[in-house]
Amino acid sequence: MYRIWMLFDPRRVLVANAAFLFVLALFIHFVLLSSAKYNWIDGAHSAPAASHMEALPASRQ
Amino acid sequence: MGGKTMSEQSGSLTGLTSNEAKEFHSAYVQGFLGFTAIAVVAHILVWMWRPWF
Repeated sequence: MYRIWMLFDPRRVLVANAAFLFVLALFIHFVLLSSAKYNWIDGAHSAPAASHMEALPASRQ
Repeated sequence: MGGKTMSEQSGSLTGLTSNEAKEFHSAYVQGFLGFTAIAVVAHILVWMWRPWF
C-alpha cells in the first residue's frame, strides 16, 4: 500500500486532501447551521424572527 | 546522484524510494487515524445531543 507514494506526489496529495476536507467541513457546518434541528447557535427557530416582535407601547409625551 | 542506484528507484514516478514511501505512509496513516478518531468522538457527542435516526 505504501507504494502509492511512489505513484502520487505526497505534497500534492496532502494539499489536495487538506483543501477537500476543509471545504467539505465548511459545507457540512453551514448545512447544519441552516437546519432548525442542528443549529447550535440560535437553537430551533422554526418561526421567523419577526413573529416574536411586539409593537412598542405608545409614547407618553 | 545521491548514492541511489537505478534499482532502488525503479517504478517510482515521484522519485521517492521504497523506504521514503514507507516513512511517509506511516505518518500519513497516523494522521488519518487521528482525524478519524476526532471525527468519531464528534459524531458520538452530536448523537448524544440530538440523534438523527
